[in-house]
Amino acid sequence: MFLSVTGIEWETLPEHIVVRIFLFLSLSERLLASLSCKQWLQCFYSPALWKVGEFKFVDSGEFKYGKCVENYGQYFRAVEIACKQEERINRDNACTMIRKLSALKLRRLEKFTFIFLGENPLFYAGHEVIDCLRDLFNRPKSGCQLKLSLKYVDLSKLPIAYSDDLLKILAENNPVLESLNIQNAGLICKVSPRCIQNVVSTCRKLKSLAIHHTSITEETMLLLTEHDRTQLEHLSIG
Amino acid sequence: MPIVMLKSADEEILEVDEEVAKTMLRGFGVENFDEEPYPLPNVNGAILKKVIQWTEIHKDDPPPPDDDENKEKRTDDIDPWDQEFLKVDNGTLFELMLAADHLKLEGLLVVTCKTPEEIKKTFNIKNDFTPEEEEQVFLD
Repeated sequence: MFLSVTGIEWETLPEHIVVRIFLFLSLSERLLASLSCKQWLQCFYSPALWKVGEFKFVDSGEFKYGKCVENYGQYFRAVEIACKQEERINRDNACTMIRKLSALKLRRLEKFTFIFLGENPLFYAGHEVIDCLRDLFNRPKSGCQLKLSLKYVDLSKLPIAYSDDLLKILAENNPVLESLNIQNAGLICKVSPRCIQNVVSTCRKLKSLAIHHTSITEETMLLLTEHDRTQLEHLSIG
Repeated sequence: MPIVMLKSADEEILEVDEEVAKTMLRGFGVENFDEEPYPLPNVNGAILKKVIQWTEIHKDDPPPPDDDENKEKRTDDIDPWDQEFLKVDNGTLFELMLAADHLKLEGLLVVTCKTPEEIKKTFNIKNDFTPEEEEQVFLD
């Protein structure tokens, strides 16, 4: 189909080059491409392609994602989940995805981002989301092993009210946390200054912190200046 | 500026600015050049010329970061010079990919791998699997 003068064609590109090309394609494009020939299907399975997982839930057609997480989730280092939350099915799919992540036998996840794409429906408290995030941030279930724990957590584009309890779990089970962003467009912030103070004193490698102004006190600021911790590089108070 | 010589797979001798040659062959750890042309038996002359051209423009680029995090960053924007440079047929593009891979020119490899619209077009060719069959492929 694309004949070249030099004799190299799609079919004769070495596998590791095809994998490099695949890196720049979305999961759905990769899925489609890998159905074209056996070699490309082989490339689809390459662990190198699964370090970053970007999942979008905007319609109900994303049925294959779940299986991908089960099969390749152990390679994930960074996961971004985006969800058009007005429709229940998208929220459910996104939550199922997070539950699958928490249930992985082996996990290397260091970076986690969750995004709501649509306008937040009024009064949507997001309990189901909080519940599955709690699962993900908690200590691994029995039979599950963490090779790495979370370092970067970005929940700034998730306009729901976080609870102290969720952040306590995150900090206690992921003390290597380096970056936390919970400065969202939620109407209320339920995160108490005491909770953030605990996060800061538990996660001593924290370099970047973005929170609501109601969650920070002078004590926390003083904690952040302590000498025996990683120096803070970025602080945002909104 | 000293000039050195490179010899392509098809025995073409190319004269290159030493600094550019060093940058291009950094992956091989070449520090000094002899009087003899430096042989590159895996890259043909036409492609080598393109690679030299690319290296001349990009010789002052910072080396690509080693850590995975940045490597995986999927920026789909390509600088205008590269876009123009990569307006070639697929065969040439593939040869450039292979040459970049061989010479360990990470920057060139990345940009060649994310360039072509053709890639997306090729990948978007509809297959004749039914959704059920398609699912089967990935579930096994």
